[in-house]
Amino acid sequence: MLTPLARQAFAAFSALVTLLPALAAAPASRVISLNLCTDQLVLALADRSAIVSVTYLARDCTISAQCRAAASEPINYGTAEELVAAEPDLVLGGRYTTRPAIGIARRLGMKVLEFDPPSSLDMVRRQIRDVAEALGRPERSETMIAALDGRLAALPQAAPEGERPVATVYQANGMTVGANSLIDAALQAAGFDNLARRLGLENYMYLPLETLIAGRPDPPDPQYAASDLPLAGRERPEPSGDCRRHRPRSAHHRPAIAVDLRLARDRRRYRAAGASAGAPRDGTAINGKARDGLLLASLALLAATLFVASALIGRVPLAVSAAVTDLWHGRTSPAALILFQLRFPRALLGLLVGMTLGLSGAVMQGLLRNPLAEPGVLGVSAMAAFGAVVAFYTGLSLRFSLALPFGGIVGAFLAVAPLGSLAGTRGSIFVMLLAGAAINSLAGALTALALNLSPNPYAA
Amino acid sequence: MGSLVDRSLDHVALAAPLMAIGWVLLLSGGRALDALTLGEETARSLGFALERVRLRLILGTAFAVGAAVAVSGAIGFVGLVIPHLLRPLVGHEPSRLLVPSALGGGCLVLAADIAVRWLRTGPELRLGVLTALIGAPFFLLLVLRLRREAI
Repeated sequence: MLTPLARQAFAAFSALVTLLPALAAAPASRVISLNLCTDQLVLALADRSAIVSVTYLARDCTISAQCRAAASEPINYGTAEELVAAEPDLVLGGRYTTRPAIGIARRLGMKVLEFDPPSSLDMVRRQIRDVAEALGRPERSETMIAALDGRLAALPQAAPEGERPVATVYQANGMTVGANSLIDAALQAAGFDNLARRLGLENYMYLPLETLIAGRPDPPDPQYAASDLPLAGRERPEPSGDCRRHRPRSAHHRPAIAVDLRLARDRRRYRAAGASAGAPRDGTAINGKARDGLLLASLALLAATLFVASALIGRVPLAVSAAVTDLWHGRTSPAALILFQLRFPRALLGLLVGMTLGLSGAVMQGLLRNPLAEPGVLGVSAMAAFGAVVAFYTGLSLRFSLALPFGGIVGAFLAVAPLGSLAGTRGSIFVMLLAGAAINSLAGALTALALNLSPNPYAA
Repeated sequence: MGSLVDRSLDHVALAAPLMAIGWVLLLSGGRALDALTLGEETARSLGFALERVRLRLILGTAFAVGAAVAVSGAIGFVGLVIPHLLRPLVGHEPSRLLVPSALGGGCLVLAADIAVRWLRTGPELRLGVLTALIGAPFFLLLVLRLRREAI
């Protein structure tokens, strides 16, 4: 309940990450940080000249202890394109964030260090050492750790076990933080008895409001009670070690669209249309085929133009002719990589996905003879989204990078089984629509279930 | 919500073959769809095995849309809006609508993807959010127009 207190305790640790003066000449290092937590360490330990960029989150003073130092540094948004263009020789990232960018950095043979969200003070010390080591500034880590330990030692002596004030962190959606977490370590060090730990909770867990009240946390110190921070329902997570922001969100399910069945009227309309099939439909369509050809040609031209434009627009400015020349000669320059490995697949996928959606939309509206039909009406895309969510929350997507789309495809085929068996029977098309609605809501429920059971406090 | 940020050629290699299978299945159903506009009974009497057509089209949707959602996430309203935009230009025969709808869908998604990058909103706006933001009002307009026609 004592969010301000916990926050205060944590601020102590964040403040330990103090900026040190540059001691020596810049090591031959170009460092990019893709994660809020590694941002803090890079800003504290690296020479300013060695920092290529930190994340945009590092400038946000509500979550970043080093926001003032970050204000004068270039920022990135954790995309692969920025990473490749920066040509870093050291990439620092979190275990759970910006996976595509880190995957590409590894493939390009860059030196990559990934960090788990720290769960103890020892882990903090270890990570400080690891980052300083990688930066070629091992001596700075000892200064920083000494400062941390000095501040810890300066804390007032905690009351004996059993007499400590009871506190806990209560975050949005009723999430709390139990044992084996940095926040728990901070509460311990600040002399609190963490209610969540006493209840046997570990890490990020859900704490029902009733349990919280029954646990009788001590009233907040009046010194902090005046704080303007609401106790719960904060939109932002605590500034504490929340290395999990900036995490790619997976596809969420879309609610099924209630389909308005206007079959009788459509049948009339389509019958009128069908009666004139093969003949000019109206006065203006003197030559339907030529007009279709013109339409197709102009759409194809538009698609080609947009495809090229898509390859030219991006986060970083690109010397296109140089990139094409490099590509032609088989040289791997950043420009060529960005154009061919990042923008080309993106544009190609945009085109393919769009064509698929347009085509299947037209087919569905024809097959179901319903103007409000669309590709999602049979529940296939909702099930695909569910498959991707499962791949994401079971951690499969951390093991291999294509787990997400693979899970999506498996999900889509789960939806096909019942639909296929229905389609083979002589049942009316309504049966398919009903089955689609059922699959849609089932997929929605399963996705919600997967999110519900996942340990990520920001998923719900 | 869907997005195309940081996709690689691996994603293309995974999705493209499945999409191609789906497209072939979907495009093969054009004639049957024309017949189906006359009603199920008429289509049957014209010699179309409707069960098999339906199975083919549903499998085609599953292959193509499943692969699309798997690599990009849900990008809403494209499949709904595009056929409606193009229908006045090609008429009401479903078979003539298929290829233009495919190209139109490609144009719309490419344009929306360019827009999310061009808007420079800091962290990129999600593609699916943009298409839904534009698509939902259009959908409403469509429903209102249908109501008016029905009265």
